[in-house]
Amino acid sequence: MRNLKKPLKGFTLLEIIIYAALVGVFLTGAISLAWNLVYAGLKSSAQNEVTNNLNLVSKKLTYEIKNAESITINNSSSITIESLDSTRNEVTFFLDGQGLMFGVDDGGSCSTDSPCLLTGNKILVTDFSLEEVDGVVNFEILMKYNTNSSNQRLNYESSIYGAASVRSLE
Amino acid sequence: MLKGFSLIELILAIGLFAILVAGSVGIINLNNNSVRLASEYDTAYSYLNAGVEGIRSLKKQSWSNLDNGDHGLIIDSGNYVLQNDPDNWNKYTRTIEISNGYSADVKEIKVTVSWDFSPTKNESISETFFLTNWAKATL
Repeated sequence: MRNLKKPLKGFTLLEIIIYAALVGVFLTGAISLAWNLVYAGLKSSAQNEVTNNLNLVSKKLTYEIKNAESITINNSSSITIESLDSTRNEVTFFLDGQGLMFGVDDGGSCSTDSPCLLTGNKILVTDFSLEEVDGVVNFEILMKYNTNSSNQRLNYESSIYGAASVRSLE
Repeated sequence: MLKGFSLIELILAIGLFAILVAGSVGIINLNNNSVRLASEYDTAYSYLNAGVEGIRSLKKQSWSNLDNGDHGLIIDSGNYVLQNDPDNWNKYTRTIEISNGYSADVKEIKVTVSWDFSPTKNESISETFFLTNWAKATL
């Protein structure tokens, strides 16, 4: 039997309130930290996607221009390259809808008549402009991560500027 | 006797917690900065490279285009033109320094792109190369 002279041990109301408040504070912090981590992951994958696509297009375009025998800029966002290598003549890059198209007549499946999409399907190419200045092609490419989400944190846009000279003209 | 934490224990616990938090925040910050720095180097390099290609093209047009001094390089109605002021794109500044190398027929070209990474930290990259007037007739 319980000794009635000894008081019951338990939590006081104040202790319970402090406990609940502390748990509340920590939980709020932990949840917001977890959300931030999730968004940081998504944001960095969007940035990586855009950066990688920009680098890919810039490197490929520079390579083709440097190895060109002659180039034709059809309008400011389409280029046809006559390659020095006769087995891969000719090469084309142009902006089509949301992506950048690439075609090379080397007997592969991406010929100039049926070009392939060079950029990823999550990428929106908002600007692709070319200008020839004294045998040097200056280009600028602007890309955006194509997301349906209205969350501003996932929107990422970046551009790359480049120049490549047609070496056969030197 | 009442049991609880002593003051020294409490100070030690808070101190340890603060060190751990400061350390992890520092690491996250360092990582963010290096990612941003890498992408800014990429951008700066593309402006640098465009300058190098432009100067080579300018020399190809005429050797006399290469005036000694600090310049910028602009595109004016389809041609490269040297100007007296450096070029600016947002926060990137490009300067092209032309000087006589071994003689007046060997020019030393230095292209520099600099920018403020943060208000207190300035970054710059540069490339130096030589161009020769090999086509000059000698007597």
